[in-house]
Formats: sequence, C-alpha cells, structure tokens
Amino acid sequence: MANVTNNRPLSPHLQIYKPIPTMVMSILHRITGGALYFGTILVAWWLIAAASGPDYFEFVNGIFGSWIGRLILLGYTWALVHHMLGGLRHFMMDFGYGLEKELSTRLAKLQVVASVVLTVLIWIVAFVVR
Amino acid sequence: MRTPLARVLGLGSARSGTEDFFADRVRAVVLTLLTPYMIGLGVYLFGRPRAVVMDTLSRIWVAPAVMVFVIISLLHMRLGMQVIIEDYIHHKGWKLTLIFANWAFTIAAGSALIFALLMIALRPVA
Repeated sequence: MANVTNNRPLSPHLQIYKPIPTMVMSILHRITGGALYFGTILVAWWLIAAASGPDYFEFVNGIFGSWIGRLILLGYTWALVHHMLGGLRHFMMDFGYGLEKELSTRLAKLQVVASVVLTVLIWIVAFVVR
Repeated sequence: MRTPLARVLGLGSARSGTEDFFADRVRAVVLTLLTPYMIGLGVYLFGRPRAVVMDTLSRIWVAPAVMVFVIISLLHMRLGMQVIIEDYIHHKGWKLTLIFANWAFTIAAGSALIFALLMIALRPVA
C-alpha cells in the first residue's frame, strides 16, 4: 500500500504561532521538568559522595562550591521553583480556574517574575546563613 | 461514543492513562508541599562539613521526608519524561526504546539515591 500516513498534512506547529506568555510558560514547564530530570543526577552524586566518605565528599563539595558548580545549582534552583509554580498554576487550571484570557496571561507573567524573585531570595538566604 | 462502563473506568481511546494523569497530579501536590522544606534543607546543607550533613540527614524529621520526596520525585519525573517521549517520538521502535531507557534511568538514579540515603541514615553511630 502507498505511504498514506507519512504524507498527511500536519497541523501547524510551534514556529507558526507568535509566542504568548501562557505558551512560553508551558514550554518552559517542559524544559525545566527535563532539566530537573537530569538534575537528579547531581542530587544522587552529592548523596553518594556523602555516603562514601570524607575525601570524596570534599571533592564533590569543591565542585559544587566552584563558580560553575554554583551557576549550575542556581539554574537548578530556578528550574525547581519555576516548575513548582507552574505546577500550582496547572493544578488550578485543572480545576477550571484562571482560564480567562487576561487572567491566565497575567498569571503566566507573574509566574516567571515570582520564580526569579524567589530564586534570588533563596540564594540571598543561602549566603546570609553561611 | 463512550459507553457508561468506559466512562466509569476512565477509558479513553488509549485504553489507559487516566490513572497516570491522576497519579501525576497527586504526586505533584505532595512534591509541592515538600519542596519548600527540601529547598530549606538544601540551603542549610550546601557547603557544610560532612559531619553536619550526615547528622542532619539521619534525623527523624529529615530522613523520612527526604526519602518520600526522592521516591515521589522519581515517579513524577519518570511519568513526565514518558509524556514528553510520547508527545515527540512517533516512531514505534524509538518510542519503546526511549520509554525503556527512561525506566532504566529512573531505576538507576533511584537505587543510587535510596541506597545513599539509607547508608547515611542507618550508618552505625561512631
């Protein structure tokens, strides 16, 4: 039989739409989720290091404490906070609230502001309690 | 057309998935409740000496919460990644391979995480 399924016209995909806040937040939710997925390796590595002994723990702590390590952890913090706030927004929408055009757009914008502010606050606290 | 039975069983055209949808949200709620605590813990432990880390992660108000957070995180991330795979990978062989790899990654990361946490929490007191 001829190839029927492969040549069917596809519905328009991302590149055809103008990015709007709710759409960007939806995409970021996926990206941060994917980042957190692989970020689990960092948590596992650090815990294994703690379990294995003082020398290896010092080594791993040194890497995490370096500027590149801190940069990655800063990104990890933001991904976690942003994904959590996105989850709350999605949870609300799952129950049918906040779906109106203006409100949903405002909440999407608020999410990115809140995630950045919270991430900065977390890191300020982290430096203060040092 | 959906029969009343299919409606009760939550069956759509894929025959399954409603349980996943529901479980994903239940887990997400638990994770959301635990995340602020875990961030606080991370902030407190970051850069601390090993003795402090080991002692803190052995405490009764810390160790079980971390374990629950880790296990539910693993389930949540496996399901999330499977949804991403199912959304973008349409070739059946690749899809199955990646779904398998996703399970393998979750089990590998999970066994490392859980084993490390148990070692830390249950180590003999010196």
